[in-house]
Amino acid sequence: MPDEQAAAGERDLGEAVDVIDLVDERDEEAGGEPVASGQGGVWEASSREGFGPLERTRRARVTPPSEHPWVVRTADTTIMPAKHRLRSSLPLLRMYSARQVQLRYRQSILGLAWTVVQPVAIMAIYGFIFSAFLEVDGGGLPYLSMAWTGLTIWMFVQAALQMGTVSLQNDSWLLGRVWFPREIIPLAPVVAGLIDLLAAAAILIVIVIVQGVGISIHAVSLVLPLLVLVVWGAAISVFCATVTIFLRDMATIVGLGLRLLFIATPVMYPEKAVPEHLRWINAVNPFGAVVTNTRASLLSHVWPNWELLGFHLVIGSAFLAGALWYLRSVERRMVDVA
Amino acid sequence: MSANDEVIVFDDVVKRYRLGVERSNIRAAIPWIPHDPGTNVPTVTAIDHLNLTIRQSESVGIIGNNGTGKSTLLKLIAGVVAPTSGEVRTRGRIASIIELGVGFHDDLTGRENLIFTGALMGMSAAEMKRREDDIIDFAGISRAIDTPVKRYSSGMLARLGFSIATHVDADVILVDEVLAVGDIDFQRYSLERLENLILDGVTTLIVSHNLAAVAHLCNRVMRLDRGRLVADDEPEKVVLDYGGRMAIVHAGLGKVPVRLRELKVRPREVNPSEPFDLEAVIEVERPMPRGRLRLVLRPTAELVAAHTQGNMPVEADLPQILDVPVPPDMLREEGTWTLRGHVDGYPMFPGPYTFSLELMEDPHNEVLDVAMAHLDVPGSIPAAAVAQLPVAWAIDPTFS
Repeated sequence: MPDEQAAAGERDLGEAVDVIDLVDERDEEAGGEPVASGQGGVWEASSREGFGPLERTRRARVTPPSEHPWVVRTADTTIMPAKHRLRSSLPLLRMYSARQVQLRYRQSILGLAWTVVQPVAIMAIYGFIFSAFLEVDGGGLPYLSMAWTGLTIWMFVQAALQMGTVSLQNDSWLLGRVWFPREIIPLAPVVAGLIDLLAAAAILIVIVIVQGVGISIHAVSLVLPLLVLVVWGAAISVFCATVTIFLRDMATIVGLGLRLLFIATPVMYPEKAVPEHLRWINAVNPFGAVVTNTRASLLSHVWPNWELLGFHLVIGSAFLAGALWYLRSVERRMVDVA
Repeated sequence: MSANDEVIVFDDVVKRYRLGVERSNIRAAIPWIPHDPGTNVPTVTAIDHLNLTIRQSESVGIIGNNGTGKSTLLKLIAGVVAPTSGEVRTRGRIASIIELGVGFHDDLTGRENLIFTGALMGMSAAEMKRREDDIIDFAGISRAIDTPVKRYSSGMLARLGFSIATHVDADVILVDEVLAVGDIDFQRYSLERLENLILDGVTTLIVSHNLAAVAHLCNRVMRLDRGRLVADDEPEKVVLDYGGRMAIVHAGLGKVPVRLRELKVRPREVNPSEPFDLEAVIEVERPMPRGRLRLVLRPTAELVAAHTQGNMPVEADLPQILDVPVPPDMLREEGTWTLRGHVDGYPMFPGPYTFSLELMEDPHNEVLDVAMAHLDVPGSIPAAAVAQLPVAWAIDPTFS
């Protein structure tokens, strides 16, 4: 660099030019990607006191702003193209859910094996109480198959609702630091719950085969109860998580509600054990409908109650849409109160 | 310059926070009740009717005292805080380094957090994987990258956070006080990284108390005071106004435009209470409208030591005997001026003294230039006094 010596005397402009020259050179070496390695004359040049204003030789690598849509934020609304929001949501949801699973079993010896050990332990405890003390039978089905079906579904409901409800509150520190679609947070426990569901379902299939129940073509209809399960789980999670940010009472209410729901849903007992005049409770309870109809198509080899499941799917979808709308209409306030 | 260049627009934005603890936020939970703390509860106005437009590729420095809304301004742009009223418009991908360790989770390793934080900023895992080496290399934490970040020092968190945020292809980068954390090396790396981004045309907003860095990086500086924009101009003007002339000098943006060439005392030896003359040569390269001069008389260190029978005091601890304002008229006009002053007599004890003529600039008290002259008062140094006071005493009988 011939003008290095010449520039040495002129403190004001000379050094600034020096810095830029060196930077450009290094950029070329690194193939256009500026990488700071910590060596070289750049530091020496810029560390001297008083390096003057940055000499602007515009390289302009950014896209013109007109190619991006405006995002408008006021007290009441955020106007953002739906495509824009959705595009950033999907990869993030996947990653957020993976993080949830990662975190749950970090620093634990059994790690991911807990997804299997946990339901087995619960099954052992509840199964013993219900079948030995309360003398509940399988209602015409092997008790283990019947109960494990219920438990597989219940574990998902419990995880999604319990963790979903406190999810926003737990991650509220993140809300003030970076913007991202907030619905990711309560949806992640639901997605993460699907992984546990998958593990429990694999065991369920083994039990069903071992106990001689067998699997028929009717099992393909399991997609419908699964859909109802996920939609309802997501809807409750999003709604309760949003309310919890503003009212901590919600987390306690959900905890109590879950206990009630566990008793009201035929998880550890067959639907037939419920007195005839109380069966409507099971029908209006979406999770009850899911458990009953999963047993029907998986264990009893009959087609499920399409109308009932369809009804719950429609109501659940509407609830989910409402919950997402609710979250979005108050998400701007969360940072202020969380 | 057209409306097509605009990337950030504030339209009469107000942000008020409620003070104190609320028992229930039930009103905030109901979408159709407006979310404004209102006027009947104690509030603090962080941003007060702010209007501004930032165009692509501008690098904007935001300065001001603590609690004047600088961070709130960045949070409004980042979209993590919503305005109480008014409208904030932004476009393009915004990366922000608002708090230490952007969105890190304690239990995840640096590498996992890297991917996750990238996702929060809108990058896919594949894109982040491709940059992983660059990011780790820049942060200089390759040995610790597979350790949970809860074991990181604050410097490591800052380095990783800065490295991630500046590698996500953002159109707008928001930096809050990051130049103040980390060691000298990291401050240099990050300064150079910001330089590169600015040269790439990335719109940059920098909140910092490091005026030299702000003046160096930014082509526009805004000064906030109690949520209002009190200055928005080229760096030299705003930094000069806020931080004083030396901030400009430290930033390499200019020199002090006035030189105090010399100061002479005639005669060099003055008996106590005898008249003497002062003469100074002042070179005004450019007028300093708010320049100010003062003449200070100090005893020399030897004199103080002789009086206190102690050690030689350091220069800064020398007491000022006199602080005389000097007419600053010559500072207002270009040229070389000679300033003369006549003293009829000042009753000093014998000993060596220093006169210094000091240049300052309102409203700051930094000494920008100084010229000194020695004055000897002959005679032997008496104990424990510095100056005599010529008092005419009278004694009258008093009856009560």
